[in-house]
Amino acid sequence: MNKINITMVLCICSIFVMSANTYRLLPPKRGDFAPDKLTGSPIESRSMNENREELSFHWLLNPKEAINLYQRPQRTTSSRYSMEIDSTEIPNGITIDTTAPGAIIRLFAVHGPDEELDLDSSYALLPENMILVNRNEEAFQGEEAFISFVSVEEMDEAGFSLPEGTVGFQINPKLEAGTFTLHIDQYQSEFPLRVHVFEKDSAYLLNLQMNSDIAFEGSQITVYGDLSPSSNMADDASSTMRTEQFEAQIHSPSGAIYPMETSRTEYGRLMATATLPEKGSISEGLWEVKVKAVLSDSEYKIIREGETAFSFVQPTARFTGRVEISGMKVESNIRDDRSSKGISVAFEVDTAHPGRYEVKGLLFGSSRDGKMYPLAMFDTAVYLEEKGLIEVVLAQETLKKSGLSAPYKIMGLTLKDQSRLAILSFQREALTL
Amino acid sequence: MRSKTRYMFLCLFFSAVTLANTGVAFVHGTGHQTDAYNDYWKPEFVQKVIQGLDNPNLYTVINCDFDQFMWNSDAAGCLAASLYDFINAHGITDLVVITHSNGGNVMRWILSNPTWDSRYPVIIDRVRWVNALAPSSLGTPLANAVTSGTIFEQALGWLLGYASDAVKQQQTHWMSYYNQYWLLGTSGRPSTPKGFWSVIGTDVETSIFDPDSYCGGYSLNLGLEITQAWLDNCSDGFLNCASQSGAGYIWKYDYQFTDGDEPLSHNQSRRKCFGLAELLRDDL
Repeated sequence: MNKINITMVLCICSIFVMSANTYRLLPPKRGDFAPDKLTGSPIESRSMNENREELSFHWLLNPKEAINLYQRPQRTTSSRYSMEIDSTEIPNGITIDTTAPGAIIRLFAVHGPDEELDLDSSYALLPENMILVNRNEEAFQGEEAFISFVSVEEMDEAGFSLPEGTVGFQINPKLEAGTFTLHIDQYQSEFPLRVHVFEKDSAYLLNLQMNSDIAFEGSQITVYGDLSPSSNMADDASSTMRTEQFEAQIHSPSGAIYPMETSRTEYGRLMATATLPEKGSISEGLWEVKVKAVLSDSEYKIIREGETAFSFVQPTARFTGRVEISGMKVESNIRDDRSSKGISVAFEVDTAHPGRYEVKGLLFGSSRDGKMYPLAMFDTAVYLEEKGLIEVVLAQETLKKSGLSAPYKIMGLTLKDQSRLAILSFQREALTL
Repeated sequence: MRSKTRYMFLCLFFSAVTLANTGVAFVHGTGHQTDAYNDYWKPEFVQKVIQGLDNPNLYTVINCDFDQFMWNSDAAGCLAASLYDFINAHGITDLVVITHSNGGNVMRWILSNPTWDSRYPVIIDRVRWVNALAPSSLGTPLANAVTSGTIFEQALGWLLGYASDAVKQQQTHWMSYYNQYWLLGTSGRPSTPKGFWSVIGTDVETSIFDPDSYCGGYSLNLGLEITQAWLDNCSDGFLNCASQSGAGYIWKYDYQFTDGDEPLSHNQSRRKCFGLAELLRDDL
């Protein structure tokens, strides 16, 4: 190599150094998540997005927007339960436990797709042929017992499709809560009855919360439950109640069911855990944890079913942590971007499978008072066959329009797999520019 | 609540400068529509709304399969194709999108995921704003109730299997996940790139002696009055008010603009009832 060539190479290198600098993502903090390793399992699902075109988009945000970047798993509540009553038990009456007046009841005969309920039994399921007996052995019929009768046709027209033959009614709110016995004496069918009880006004809500809404294959998941009228854990009634039944299962969208181990935390909270399969069929839709709890005290027997949802994720890609930044005046002051055409930030992504991967996040900028405010949301998606860079370009025009300036921060950095509709990682505070 | 007026002035200003070619799109809710003009919206509603256009021919009524998950090619893909073709065929530079119910979620998918499809950025660029009539932004407990029967009872799968993907998606705990990770505009999340303005139905009134109960169909409204038993005190018979106001900005509660302060049931919020069509017409 002669001297001229060496000089050229050095020039090219120095231009590169000035125009693109390598950085590392900030260390993750509590609440951030990312896979420890990439999946070794094959991908069995069809791709949900076949698009191979590189697309990039960003838009200005209102700096006054209140954006919460602390990811908390969702909390669900339930005040309902269901049960199936065998036809042999129906002559003895159906026990309905309530904790508040005015419970809403739905019931229907469970039969095969080619079977039909006989006319006499259908007639028996009309509320005017039922008798309701309270815990004081007092019997009620008609409007004294039930209000708001509804036919399945009316419900269907309202967009609330229910199984054929469903009967819906409300226990008269004038009747005190407690244990009722519903007598359907003329029911002669061999088909069991499914009964749904919904207690809209009950103070006893089953609250469920998972340790995370995103669960990687092979990871352990935990769901916590309590029985309280609010999210205030001090009100948790379950901790002092007798547990008669507590079951939890994981249901995949493809119909697979996995049992969970149930226990109580040291504070008496209900808890269920399970390890997810290493290789799960990835179907569209969410996985669910379904819980049934039966608790009692001296006054009530409380039955509740609830569920919470999570995304089962095969870790198909992750950030390596390497970031290339260009477009800023590196040599003088990285925080002086006035002469540049904008900022380019390229994130290196390692992949286990080809797919369409997306980087999304927020750019925060500084105001004159030194505080940071939301500036723009950015979003880039590319198809990667293997490890590669996903580049986000923030135009100088956008930066200027915002009225905010350096130092900038990249917040809420998210890596998504559009091919599998999966969230792969989230980092609340990712980079300072 | 934010005022839409400020945005209107800005749009009027830019319209004057750029001579905007304004169009309007009607996006239906859950279901597979093939003739939404006649079946879902009804001609009298559409024709009243488009009176607000300079060129009343610049409207489109979307027909897609919204029984699918919102991201599905037959749902958001179909909606994107329809809007994209409409924009290009008529040179639309200013598009107002009117959605009903789950149609708001499908539109919000497009606004929230601009890099999913190369047509999305073009559509977002041309959209002035979305007028979301009774959007199911936080889902509905009714979807939970419909799909909950399978708990520990897999044998019942056939019986409840008709719960479409769209119904599953609109369960409250599913929407909570999608709002947190895939959709924008809910509390604490960044806003959508274009405004998402909701009109909220607050009640259902049915009485055989009250002619207002017949607007949109008496039996449909009667069913919605009964489904209110599963919902909060403020609901349109299918959605809690909290769900309808759960994303974007509140434009109007029904009682703020309807004739006689009438509430709009979930069925009436897509029909020519109590001044709704006039509100939308004047917004164009």
